[in-house]
Amino acid sequence: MATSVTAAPNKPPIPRRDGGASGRRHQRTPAGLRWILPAFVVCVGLIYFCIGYSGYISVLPWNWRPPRQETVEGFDSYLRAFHSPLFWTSLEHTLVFFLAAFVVQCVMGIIFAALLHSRVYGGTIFKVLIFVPVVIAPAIMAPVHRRVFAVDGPINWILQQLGLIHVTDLGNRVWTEWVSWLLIHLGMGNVTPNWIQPSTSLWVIIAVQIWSSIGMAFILFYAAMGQIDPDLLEAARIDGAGNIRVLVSMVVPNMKPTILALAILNAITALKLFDFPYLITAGGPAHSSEFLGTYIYAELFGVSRHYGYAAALSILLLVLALGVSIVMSVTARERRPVPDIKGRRG
Amino acid sequence: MIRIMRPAIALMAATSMAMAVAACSGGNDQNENSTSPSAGAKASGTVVWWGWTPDTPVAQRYIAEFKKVNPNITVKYTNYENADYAPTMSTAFQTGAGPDIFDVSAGGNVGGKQLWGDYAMDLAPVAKAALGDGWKDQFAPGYVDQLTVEDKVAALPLGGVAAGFFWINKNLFDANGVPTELKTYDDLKAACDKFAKAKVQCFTMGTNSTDTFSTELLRTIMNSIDPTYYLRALHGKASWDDPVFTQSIDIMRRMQQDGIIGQDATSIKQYPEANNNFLSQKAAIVQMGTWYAQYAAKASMTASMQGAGVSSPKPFTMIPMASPNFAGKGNVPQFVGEADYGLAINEKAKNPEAAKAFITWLAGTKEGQQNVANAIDLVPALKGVQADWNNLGLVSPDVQIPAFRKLFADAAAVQESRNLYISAETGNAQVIAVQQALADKSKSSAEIAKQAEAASVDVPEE
Repeated sequence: MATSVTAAPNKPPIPRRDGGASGRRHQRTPAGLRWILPAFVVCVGLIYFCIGYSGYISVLPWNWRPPRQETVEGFDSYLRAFHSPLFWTSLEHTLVFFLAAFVVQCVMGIIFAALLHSRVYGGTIFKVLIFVPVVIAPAIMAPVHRRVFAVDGPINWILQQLGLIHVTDLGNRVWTEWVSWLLIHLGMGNVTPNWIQPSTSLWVIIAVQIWSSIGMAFILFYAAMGQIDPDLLEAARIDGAGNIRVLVSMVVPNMKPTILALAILNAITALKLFDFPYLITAGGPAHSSEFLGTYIYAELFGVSRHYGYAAALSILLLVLALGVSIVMSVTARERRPVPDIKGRRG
Repeated sequence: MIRIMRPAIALMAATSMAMAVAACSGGNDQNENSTSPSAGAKASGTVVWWGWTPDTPVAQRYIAEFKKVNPNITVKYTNYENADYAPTMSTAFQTGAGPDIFDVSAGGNVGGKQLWGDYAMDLAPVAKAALGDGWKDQFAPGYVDQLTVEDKVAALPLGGVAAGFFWINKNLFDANGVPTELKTYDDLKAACDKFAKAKVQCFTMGTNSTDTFSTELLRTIMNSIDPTYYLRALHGKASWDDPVFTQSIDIMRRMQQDGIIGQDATSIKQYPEANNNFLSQKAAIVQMGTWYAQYAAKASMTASMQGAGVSSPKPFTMIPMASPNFAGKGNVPQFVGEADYGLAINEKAKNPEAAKAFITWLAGTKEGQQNVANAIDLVPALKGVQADWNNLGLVSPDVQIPAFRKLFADAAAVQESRNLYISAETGNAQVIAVQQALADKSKSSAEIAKQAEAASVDVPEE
């Protein structure tokens, strides 16, 4: 570790404000504690208490009916989660969602940012257009997306105009012969132009999420690109690098911290995803777009109302989110360059 | 019972029905079940009522009529969407902030007595005090028992519900030369072929939800194969991976393949989309229960059509149609039904006396029940009460009144319960089964049935 070889710098002694008992008290009390105390109490009271209470409920065999069962049954709910296929299905969906959303956001965000750094005509308008979906509430957009992906919705209309699907005498939308042949040979024969179905509903959620969050990725990359030293790019160009080479070899490597931040944001978003799957597909059909968030809600307020189990799932979600964040942060810290050490040695 | 709330629809319905009620109740003498003004006068103050049904304006009409005989009591009603009711109620009860009065149903995942009955006070003494010793017999058979939890009468029934049949748009049927009675699968198929030619969706249904509407069709099909199977399976006397179940899945798939079930069934919900498809006349048939009759009047239909996106609505004639014999075995699926919902009083009600006055008036008096009957939302719980059919403003009284009279008579005589014995797990398993049947062709009907059997939880017969 880089930090292990770093000699501790000589720190100037902390000046004592006064002597005696009062001084010792000041030494024990962190500076500024009294200023953060109200916020600290609110945070601990509202957030960490709730987390702790969820942890307590998670060890109760509480299946809604009052009075609440107080007998601690240990980690049965956690074991049940690990044995539940739906839990693993939700995690699998989370992973697929994260990978797909992250990759597409990175690629598209970088492309948009690069294009708009190139002094495109009407750039400000494009920036607004790209960012607008970020500020629209999912609850407002969900019905629109439901319509967009409806059997007789705009997407199928476009595909129909392109000659990819046709309408049968019974009014059903089906692939044209060659598209059908292609899909079958790609192992996607069960994909039909009915998008809210088990084989495609997860991808509908991913597409909607990408649509709604790509503006955030764009803003982050746009800001990060603005901080790259222009001399660096100029030097690359003098060495003969073209636009794409500059982007791939100079710009992207200099935006690794931004990419990492986006990865953490996406991972947490994926883990706690709830709004779009709940509002667009209700986690279905047949759990095909179930995520941990919708699974927890269904256990809590849906069919079975297993409070203890839902609380256990929530704790598992918290642990996963924390774990992913820590792993990503630590990984990033370990890869930090060495110049800092050289500077200190010098 | 689950349905969407449409304030606008009910506002107009309430206006017209209030006139009807005024007409029919104006000359009524105080009958033996009436709550005299003096009885209500003992209580006063404000009562808070929460429910997922009825629609707000209908409830306001009930409240306005109640206020005439109990001027000292104010009832404040809040209507919640089905999906919001359980989260709101559970949070409220946990924090001791629940309402004075709340809806409770015989079963189901929204207001089932198994969920909320524990918070209700026993209404048997209340009913006895208001209606006398034989109070239970004054209600339709079984209704009180269906709202009873472990010997506690959790709620007094407002009315009953029945399902297992279809609603049709008679205008579309007539315009396309389709007979209004479709007795067999082939009849249904032939009708759908005609509608397809006319670019009209034949049968609309929505399965993209956790609610159990979509399972009604599955159950109707099962009943056409073996009328005894469904209840036996609910009670654990038959298995859900029985051939009856697999055949039903196969029939559903065939219905989809034959264009009877729309391709959009897996991507839409029963409410609002399937409901809107029917009300906007995009679809000719929908499967709903007796509650759907409330949209048959001119005023309510006009408002509901506007709610469905029709800019210049022209009311059409909707009538019930018995289920076709899907399986071709001669079994016409019968209605299933029970007490739809009742009103319960919170054990911790802030104003229990006023709450008792309201509930006993609405559920236990002929004036109160006449209001319920005229909403044509419920089969009245109190014996001897009927809707004032001639004054409801139906679109085509000549056609609809005989059909509705028969419908409500059949609904009142229903033998098989609807939701009473369906556990939450079983209901959910069947929702998944229907979704897989229509959307997941990689699973065989046997696999789907096996999965349903594994996920279901039996409920013992009471």
